[in-house]
Amino acid sequence: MNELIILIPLVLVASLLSVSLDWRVALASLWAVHLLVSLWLAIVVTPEVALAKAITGTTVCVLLWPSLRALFTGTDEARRQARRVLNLSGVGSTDEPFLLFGAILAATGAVALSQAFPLVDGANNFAWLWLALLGLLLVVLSRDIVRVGLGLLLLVNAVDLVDTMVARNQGLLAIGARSTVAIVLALSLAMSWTYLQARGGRFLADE
Amino acid sequence: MTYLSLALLVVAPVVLASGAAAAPRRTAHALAILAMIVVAAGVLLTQPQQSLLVGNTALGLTEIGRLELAFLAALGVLLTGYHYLSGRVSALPVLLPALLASTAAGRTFGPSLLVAASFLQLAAILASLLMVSEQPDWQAGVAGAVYLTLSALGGMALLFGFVLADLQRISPGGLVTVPFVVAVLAIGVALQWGVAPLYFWLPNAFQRAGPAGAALAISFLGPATLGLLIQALSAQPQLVADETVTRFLTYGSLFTAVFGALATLAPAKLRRTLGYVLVADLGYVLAGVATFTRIGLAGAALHMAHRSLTALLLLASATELERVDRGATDVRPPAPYLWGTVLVGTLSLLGVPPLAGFAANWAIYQAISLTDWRLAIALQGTSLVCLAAVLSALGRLRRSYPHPWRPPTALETTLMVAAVAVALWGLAPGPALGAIHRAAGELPFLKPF
Repeated sequence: MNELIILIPLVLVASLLSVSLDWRVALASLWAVHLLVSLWLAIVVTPEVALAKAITGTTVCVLLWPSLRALFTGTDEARRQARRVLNLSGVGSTDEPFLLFGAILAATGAVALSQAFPLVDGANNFAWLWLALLGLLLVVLSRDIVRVGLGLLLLVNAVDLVDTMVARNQGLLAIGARSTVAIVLALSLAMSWTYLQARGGRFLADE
Repeated sequence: MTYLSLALLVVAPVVLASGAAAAPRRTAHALAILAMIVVAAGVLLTQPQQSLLVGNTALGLTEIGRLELAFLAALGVLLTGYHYLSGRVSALPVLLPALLASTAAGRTFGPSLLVAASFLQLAAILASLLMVSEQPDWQAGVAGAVYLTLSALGGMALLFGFVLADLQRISPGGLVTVPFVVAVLAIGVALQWGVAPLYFWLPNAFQRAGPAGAALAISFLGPATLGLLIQALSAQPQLVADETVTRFLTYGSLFTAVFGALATLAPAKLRRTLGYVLVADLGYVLAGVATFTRIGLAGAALHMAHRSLTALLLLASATELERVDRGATDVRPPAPYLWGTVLVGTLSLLGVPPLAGFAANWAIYQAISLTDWRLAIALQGTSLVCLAAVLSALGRLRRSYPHPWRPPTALETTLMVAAVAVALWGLAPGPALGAIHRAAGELPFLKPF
């Protein structure tokens, strides 16, 4: 019962993250995903692991916040320019409505796979598969690198979850190493967005 | 391993990297080189059979791990030297010691594969950070962002693969089968190395990213990933028992060699063509590993080391050559030094006898000929295609060089000396091949030959 209380909001906020157009909603959803995963870990593993997850998630979102704010605030023209320079895949990539379809597809896939391949117990299996598929879809289908980055961070959560389920008694070093990876990944993503925006502005001006 | 060697391998480089962050350019480079020397000293002080208990974790370094870290420290010195001489300003002196510390930390964890894979992922993210920030143009940033995305995906595939490997070991014959685990791990390794069809970042980084960032991703993380692979197979030897898996890995190596060779024929800039040569070249490494023999793995490790040195040389000389062709150094009359360095580096990489690449390839030819000699011929054929493509691209870049040639600059001299060293070490390959072969003898998953 406890697990379901967490699972339902986890599914909702992860879906919101994948389809949201506003950066504030996306960042808040990412933070909520981290907090719900840590709550989940508090129930099924230990409070220490859960606390480490919550601290990592908060740090990740704090690191992303200034970069996202710089990208998506300002005039309409500045935001349009930011979207152009962050677009890595070019013309022909999928658009936002397709991500909604992708989220539904990921949900269906997660339900089917969790029943066909129960790697870990019951609802845990659905939770990590849902996050993994949604993260993969964001990485593969997204038009811009910001969404790709958010997809990567969802994937980090999924791997973290399945790993914790398999090896319940994790060492402090293992938790620390994975938390460091998540934080450095967020820092790199934030820096790459900022650099691409700064250099892309010059690139567009030269065109 | 002792607390002192652990401090030299992991703590000291991080401290020196922090110092480099606050120091002026010359001091920062000196501190980075000092960090490499300190790590080499840590390697020398570490006894392979000795482990150190920290909490519940036993830390140690195998003989092959020692060789890997010593090689990476030497490579780091060369890269820092080039970076200093070329007058470039980037975060390399700060990131390189941190990257080496991360690789060393991963290697000391032995059977804790998830921790080791996390440290490799950390190193890859640091390399991408440098790639994104090194050059002032947008395309270089895009190359860095693509590498960040694909290497992070690769790192996560490796982490997931190790979780699956644990599950498979706990319940053999269950839902998780050996081929499935190997498939996931293969995707992770392919993304980290740039194996076809997951190669996209490699030619892109070689052509567009700055030389330091691309060198870290190709020359530094290539051997580090091979080190993690060896560490993983030592901890989970059940993964190499399936003959079907071995056959698929061998076909995969041939596929990347053929794909890379065909891609070099497409009209492109020299640096992109060289990037595809490196994709094709991974076929040798994969084929050597997939034999799971001592000689095959020793050949693969030697080839990876040679590839790393040559890739660094080619990146440096091709980038400088491009700068000259763009007119950045028009005050000096043209001279064929850099062009010649690229030529020698390419001939050496592609294993033209008697240059060093041939010595690195020879062990692999021996190992794969035991199972199928046609594979060795096919690999040789792909090298010939690559050679023709690069010679053609180089021919187009050749300018007229008025006699008498001007004296070479310090950077050109360094690159030429490096080219000669990289090309000629293979005339006496015994010590290097022997050391790796001896170290490979301790690995539990290899066949005796």
